[in-house]
Amino acid sequence: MKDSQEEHGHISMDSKEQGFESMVHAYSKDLYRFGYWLSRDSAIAEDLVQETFLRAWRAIDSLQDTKAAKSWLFTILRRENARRFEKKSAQAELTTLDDELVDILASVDDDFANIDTLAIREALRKLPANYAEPLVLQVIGGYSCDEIAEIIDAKPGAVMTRVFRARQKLRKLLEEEEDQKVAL
Amino acid sequence: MDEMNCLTVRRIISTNVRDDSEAFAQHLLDCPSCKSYYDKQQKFNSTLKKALEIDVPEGLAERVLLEVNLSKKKSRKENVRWLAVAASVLVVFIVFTTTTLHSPPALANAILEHVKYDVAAFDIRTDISLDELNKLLKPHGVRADAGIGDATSAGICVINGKQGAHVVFEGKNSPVTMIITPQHLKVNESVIIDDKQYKGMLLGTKKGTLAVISEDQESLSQFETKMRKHLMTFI
Repeated sequence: MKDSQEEHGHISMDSKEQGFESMVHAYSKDLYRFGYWLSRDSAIAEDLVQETFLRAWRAIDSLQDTKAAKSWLFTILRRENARRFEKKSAQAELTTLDDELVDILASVDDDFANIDTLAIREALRKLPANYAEPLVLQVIGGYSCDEIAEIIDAKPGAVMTRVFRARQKLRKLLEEEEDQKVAL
Repeated sequence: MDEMNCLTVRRIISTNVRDDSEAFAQHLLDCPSCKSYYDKQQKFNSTLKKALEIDVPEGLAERVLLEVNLSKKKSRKENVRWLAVAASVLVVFIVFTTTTLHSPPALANAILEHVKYDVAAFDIRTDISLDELNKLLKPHGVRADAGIGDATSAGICVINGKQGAHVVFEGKNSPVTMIITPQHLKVNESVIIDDKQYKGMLLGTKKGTLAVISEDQESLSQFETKMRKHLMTFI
């Protein structure tokens, strides 16, 4: 039999706590990774996760749809990270991609599939935060450009531009690294 | 079905946007160059995912839950504190309106009961600045300087419909509570309080009664010395 509170659309304290605990177990790893790639610091990443869940618990009643929990948590973590800095004019250059895509078409024979994870991590650490952020959300969070746009409060087109440029910058950094290895 | 050109297909592939359209799939079937580009990108994406999935510290979720639980307890304690303050206000109100107000032993007993009832507030630290403390004391003709020590909590007691001040100081071994009652509850002579748990005294001031109480005699004596030096009253 259903709990009478649930029948009236209210969630009991126990089920709220259980739901919250499930959220912590389900999303703390992805949030930590997101926090790490934003801050590039494991201690800060853990603090960000802690603070995110503390805020989430305090505001748990405002979460109407549990399906939106993951995006909600990512948004909170992002805001927590932003609090560490003064707001900068983070608006990236929003030119069209076509010119750059033309260059890519000319370089189809890249071989980045063979790059190892350590080299990618090294390159990611050098990637500017505003490029790394949507890329991490896409790869770790599994979000679409529209969803990332909501989380980072940007237009989907701008997100696509940043994801594209993030990948381009990553390739360039990896190329440079490969060149250095060859030179040695 | 609209056909896709290489530029559009590569834009989709390069940004890793999921495209389940028939046109996209068909282009990959028809264009070996784009298909090769797609395969390489897919492989790169999988390597990128592996690279981004850094190790997560052991026990992270458990630490998060512990921190949240501690925060819940703290919040409950805060609520208990305010409930205790509210309850103590009620107790003082009832006690002072139903007892012989000018009788020193009755006043001492009422204050003792109030302090015992308010014991939950003692272990809650609520930093009170000197300015805040003096604002609370001012209506009672009392002023403290910094030497009085740290007040850990402070509030207003409504006594017989009038406001009194209730302050808890950090004592040497144990907290010391100071209560200042309004003028109409003034004692004319000093009263010593000594029950099984608490020791203290009531002192008459120009504007009311000042009570100091503690569970520990040493803390009380030390506070008395401080009080005479750093509390400007009209005793």
